[in-house]
Amino acid sequence: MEIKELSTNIKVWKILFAIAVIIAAIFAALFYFQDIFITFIIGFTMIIITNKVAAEFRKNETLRRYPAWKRALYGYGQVILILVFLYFYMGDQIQSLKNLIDSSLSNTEIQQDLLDSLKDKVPTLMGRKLVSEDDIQNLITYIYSLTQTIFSKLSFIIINGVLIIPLMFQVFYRNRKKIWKSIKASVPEKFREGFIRGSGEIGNQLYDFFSAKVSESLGVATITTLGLYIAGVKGAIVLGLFAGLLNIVPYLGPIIGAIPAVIFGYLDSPATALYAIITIVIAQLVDNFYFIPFMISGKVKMNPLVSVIIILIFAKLLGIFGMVFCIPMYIIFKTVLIISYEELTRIYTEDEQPIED
Amino acid sequence: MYSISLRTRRGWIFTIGFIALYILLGNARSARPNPFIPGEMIAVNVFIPVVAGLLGGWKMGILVGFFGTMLNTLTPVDSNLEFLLLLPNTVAGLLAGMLRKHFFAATAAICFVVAHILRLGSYLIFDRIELSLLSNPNLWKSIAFQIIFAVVNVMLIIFVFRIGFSTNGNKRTIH
Repeated sequence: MEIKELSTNIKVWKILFAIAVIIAAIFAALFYFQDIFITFIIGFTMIIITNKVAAEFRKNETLRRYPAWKRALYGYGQVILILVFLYFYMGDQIQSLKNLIDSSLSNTEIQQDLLDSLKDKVPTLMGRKLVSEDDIQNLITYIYSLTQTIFSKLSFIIINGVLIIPLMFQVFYRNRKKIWKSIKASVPEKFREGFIRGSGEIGNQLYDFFSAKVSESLGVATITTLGLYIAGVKGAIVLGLFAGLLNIVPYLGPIIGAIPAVIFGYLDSPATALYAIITIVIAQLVDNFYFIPFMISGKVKMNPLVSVIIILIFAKLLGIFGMVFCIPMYIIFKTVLIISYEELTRIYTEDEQPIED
Repeated sequence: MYSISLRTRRGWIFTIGFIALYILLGNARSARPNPFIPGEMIAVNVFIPVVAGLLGGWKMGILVGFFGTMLNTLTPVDSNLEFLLLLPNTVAGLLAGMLRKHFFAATAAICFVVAHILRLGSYLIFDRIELSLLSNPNLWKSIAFQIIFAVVNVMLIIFVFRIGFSTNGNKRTIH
């Protein structure tokens, strides 16, 4: 889509401006209803994962010999086995982490020991000038309250998810074609071709982006889980999944994701915390040198400088959620505006004269 | 199906990575002692040769099973008993590679059952356990749990590999 010469037809620019404002308003509304928006994104991600798993089953030549109901039984049986196992195993891990948090929150001696040992480890020069005891105390309190906020938000998202996500699956797998047909029919004839092309382009790019992000997060989660298990950190699966999930936040996500693992490791012993840090570093090295170049960069065609600027702008405007969703929003904005411009210039060049100087 | 070929450099990197992972998991600080076999830890790394076989074929399965176990005997943990696991792990990797074109979850379960039978046989031959232990139902419950645990691990790792590294030839758009 190369734009060679811009149009001088003011109507084109007025309509483009209106489109940009409408899209911005839609995104603003989505961010206002953040929790529901996140639930939709989670549902969309689960649909992507389901599609990928289904595609892998379709490729299996042995399975093709069997009737559809046997293939479905085999597939669902595996999924149920994994979910049941994860439910019991993770439930056990979450309980042990919760006990660890409760015991350290209620036991002020542990907090004081942690504070004293941190003071010993921070070099005296830095300790006097940059980091005070109050700062460390505030940081520990902030981390605990942030963890509690995340858990309470998580429960709200889970409740939303239970209501919304099954309906999303139903709409996607049963009613998708019908809904798409009716949307296409409602678009005026002269805009229809551009609308189909634009929505196809957006759909493909968003699918590729989220698909790559899911793969990257799973990879980081797997490496982190294995590493934390080897390191002897309690709750390795939970902490590994948490680190993988937060890896989707650019720049800050890996650091925030590493904090619980290091803290829980430190509550066990300083050596465990060190092994946890080594695990996180290895996971990030694999992510930056393998996953991102080979999975993400090939699929999301974006100038690195532009991506950094956009991430910083949205970080300022909308915080962490802005950082996570700025790239998909950029994809939608860019595609809609470019295709709208092409269609508008095609339509209004034919019908109307451009403004004379 | 996603496959790693030993004819490529990538295949050898994965083989060495699996061997390293086998050794690291075998020495994991989270490992717990096996209540039935004195001096042995509950082996969570037994699924690594099976994963290698499922992804890379019988050659990779044999290499990871044999060399992973062999090198693990040089580590401090499990050094007395690890050499008894040479045959079971190698056979598990071989079986996984030979049966990989079929249902991989069932293949993994078969490999673990065979590996555990061979392991028990090795322990009996070398007097690490008594014959009477085989009549203890808790032993079989523990083995069953270990097999299910290992099968789920295999399913998860294969799942991550497939959705992470598979080609998107069957790409779906959202409409």
